[in-house]
Amino acid sequence: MKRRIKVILFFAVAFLFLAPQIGAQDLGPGFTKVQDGIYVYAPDQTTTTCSIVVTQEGVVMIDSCNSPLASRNMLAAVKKVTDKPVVFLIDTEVHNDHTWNHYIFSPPAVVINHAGAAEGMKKGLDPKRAETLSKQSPEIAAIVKDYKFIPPHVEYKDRMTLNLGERTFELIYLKNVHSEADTAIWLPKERVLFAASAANVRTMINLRPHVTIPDVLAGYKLMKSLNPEVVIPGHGPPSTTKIFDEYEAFYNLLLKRVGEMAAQGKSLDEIKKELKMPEYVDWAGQDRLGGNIDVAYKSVKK
Amino acid sequence: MKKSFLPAVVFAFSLVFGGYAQAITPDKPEFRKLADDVYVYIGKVNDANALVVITSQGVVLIDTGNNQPETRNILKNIQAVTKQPIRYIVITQNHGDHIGGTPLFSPPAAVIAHERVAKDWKQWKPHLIKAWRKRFPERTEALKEFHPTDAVMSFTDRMTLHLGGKVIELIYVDDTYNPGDIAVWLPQSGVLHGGFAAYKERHPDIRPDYSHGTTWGMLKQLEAIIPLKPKIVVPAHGPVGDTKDLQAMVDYLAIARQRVRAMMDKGIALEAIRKDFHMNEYKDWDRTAHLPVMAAAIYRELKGEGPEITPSIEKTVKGTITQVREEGRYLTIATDAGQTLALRAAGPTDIEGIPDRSHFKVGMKIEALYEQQKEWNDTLEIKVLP
Repeated sequence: MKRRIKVILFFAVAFLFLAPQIGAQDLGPGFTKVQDGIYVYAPDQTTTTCSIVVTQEGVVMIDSCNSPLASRNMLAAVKKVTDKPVVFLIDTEVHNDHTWNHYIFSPPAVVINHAGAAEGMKKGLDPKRAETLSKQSPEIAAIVKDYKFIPPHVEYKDRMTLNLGERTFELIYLKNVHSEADTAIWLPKERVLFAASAANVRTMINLRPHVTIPDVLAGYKLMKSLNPEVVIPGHGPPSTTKIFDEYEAFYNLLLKRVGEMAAQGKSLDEIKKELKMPEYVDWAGQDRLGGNIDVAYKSVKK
Repeated sequence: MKKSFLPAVVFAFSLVFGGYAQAITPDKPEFRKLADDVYVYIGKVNDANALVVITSQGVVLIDTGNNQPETRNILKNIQAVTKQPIRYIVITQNHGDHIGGTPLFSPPAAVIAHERVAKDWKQWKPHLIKAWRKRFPERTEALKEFHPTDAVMSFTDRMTLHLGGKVIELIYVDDTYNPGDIAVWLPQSGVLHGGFAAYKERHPDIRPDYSHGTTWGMLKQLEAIIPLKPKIVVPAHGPVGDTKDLQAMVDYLAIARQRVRAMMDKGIALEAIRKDFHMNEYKDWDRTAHLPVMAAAIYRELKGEGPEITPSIEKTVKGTITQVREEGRYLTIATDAGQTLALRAAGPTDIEGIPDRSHFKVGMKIEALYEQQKEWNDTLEIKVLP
């Protein structure tokens, strides 16, 4: 009897070591395994990031990916890492590159974002997007034929917590940082933060007119106070709080230069023509500098 | 069965509940349509109510029934009007007669509650979690490894559900002593589940431990929900009302607070205030037994004192049931040690061998784990009788 127990124990322990562990390399290019059960799909420095967090009670997805093909890749990844369905999909913002592909995951996924997200999604909806995408390839057309506009099922105000199985997701509203409804998602036990598009990776961000730089800086302060070990931006691969430091330095320098030029009596147009940010010439999205100056000018003129 | 030894987890609670002045709802529960896809479950004899919203993306159940038979009855009624699964459970108040039916539905249903409720659930002692898992014997297997907070969405301010074209707004009114009570507003049909604040012609059981909040908190909630001008108001307990009933409660609370304040200004001691406090203008309202307890709570509020803290200790008892009241909610136990113990078998009741507390019978052997207050407490009335 004792021998039998020993044999069973041996095989049980051996199974633990030999059982296939799914690594990011098994999921394809662009995937990173941040921690056990947390996978990030960031094809490159600027493309929209989407992620999955596996729990005992199902998968929580963060954003629905940049394109139908990316969503399909993510869905395939989900099936490789777990047999559980995507039960919740949390949006970090409202723009199409994060939300248009909800239909691929919902139903069954319950979509969550801050109050105002549905309105924001409707405002930014291009009624011809499905048609345009379908023309790109038969492969895309095959996915897009099922397209349906899916706004969030749950809209919270200020803060919300989702407990699912062994994991806790704290949803924190980020005011005026990027879109009409931006949510940072904090996993306190894992110390992993999904930072929305408040900060990306060495890329000038497209700042809409409603964004204010003081609010963006307040967002960084709040997120840094959580002391995360891993920061996952809205675009680009996983990083650390250094991305907040980089953007803080960028915006503070921008505000300083715009403020000085405005104090010299220069008009916004003149500032936009003359102002340079040579320290950031290697950042992507240089064409967005003008929009950033617009927003900075509003801040210094307040 | 009589010889079986029934381990039960029982919250010790009320020795003298005080009885109710009159029953307002009938002695049979009612499942009634209030609007398209909106139904109310009106508990019998003022048992807890529930609200049901049917959407093409599942059923939203607001509160879960007074006890296990009621919860099963709610489920049966829902299944009679729709084939949609119950996907969301919304909790309007963190008391056993509102949350206790949750394990019949979740998982897979997601539970939605205020953050203060979720935090409380996270701190539950192991015996409460065990009782939760075994509350519905048919769900024991599904809940074997499940913690009550494993599928909970909680919020701090407001939350809105958009499900198949239906809009369901969850409203929390912030107050230091709000234990996480919320109202549920259906703007498309004008139906409001007003929770604890929305009683119709019932003296509220505001307690010195503020487990139902305070009268001031109730007034703040009423101030927030009256402007919605609901056509139909579902209270936590009792008959359905409308906006006029909410306004009536505002007037009631103002009078109650003024009355206690006037007595305090005259230097009357708490015990005398408890004894002399009356609401004679509302003689036909239900639950006059709540009045002295409410007076004590208002006294604390007006003195600016926080909730009464009554430390408790976990105790076990073995004995025989000698009296069963209100379908097993209140038990008298002749303990094997020769004492008489009054127990309230509240929400998280863990009973092996019988489906639920309504099956308690005189003469049955019982083993109970309960929480005894260290001192006599008027709110959580309990003591071991000599």
